[in-house]
Amino acid sequence: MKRVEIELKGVKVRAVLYEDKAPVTVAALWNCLPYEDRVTHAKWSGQMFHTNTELRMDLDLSQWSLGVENPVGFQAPGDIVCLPSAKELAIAYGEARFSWVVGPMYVTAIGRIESDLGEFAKQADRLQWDGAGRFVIRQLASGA
Amino acid sequence: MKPIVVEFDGHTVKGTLLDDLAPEICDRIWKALPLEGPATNTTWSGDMLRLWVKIPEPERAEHVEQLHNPGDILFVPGWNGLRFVYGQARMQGPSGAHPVPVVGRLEGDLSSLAAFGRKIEWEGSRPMRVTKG
Repeated sequence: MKRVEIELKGVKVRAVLYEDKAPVTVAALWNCLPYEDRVTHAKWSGQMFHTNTELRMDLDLSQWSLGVENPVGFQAPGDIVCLPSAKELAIAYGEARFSWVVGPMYVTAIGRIESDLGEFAKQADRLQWDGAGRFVIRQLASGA
Repeated sequence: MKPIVVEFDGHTVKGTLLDDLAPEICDRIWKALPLEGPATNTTWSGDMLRLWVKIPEPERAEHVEQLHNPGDILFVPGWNGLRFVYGQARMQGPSGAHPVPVVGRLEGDLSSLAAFGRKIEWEGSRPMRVTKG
């Protein structure tokens, strides 16, 4: 099982990636790691933040009927999702639904934060007040 | 209609309160001016700024509309403050879209307001001020 460490403004949490449900997208993400960016708070999706620099993913989206692997239309706190067409990650820290100007969108459920969300969610919520924040996602050993 | 001026980051945009369409809410806003507070982007509603100020709650909602245009000024009963639309936006929350009172309109070129919205997304909240025009 692949696990990652996610750091937001110095707060670190641990997450599991859904190799079983989204093997192609998880493998592509895994190959991008470590990945560092400045994330910003969502303006359409509620309690969620997203990356702004494209991940080095090159997925054939035509292989999935909805254009994404393991599609979901709703997110729970701690859910990690990927919009492969934009090569973007987003993480929900409270009530959220991945949306854009066109409305709610299908995204790939790629993993879930396993650690306590408390301090991480506080830092995520501050993004709307403080502006962009440093974000890093790193590999932890498979099976860890 | 009552004239107002919105100031942010060295820019000034003129507007009006729609007291013919939302008389009670506009009267409460007018009496509360000048209003100054921090501005952030909304988290569900797109290109829309939220000015975190306190306005006495009206007895009822007036001039409630479902869709918004750039330049619209909104008041959300219960949540309070003022919202300023600077691009594609729709007042929304976790339970979906919320029709809300449109209480004013900004006039002229809104590019400085849109730039302000993008700036605070990256650099954080900045002060915003609304005065009588």
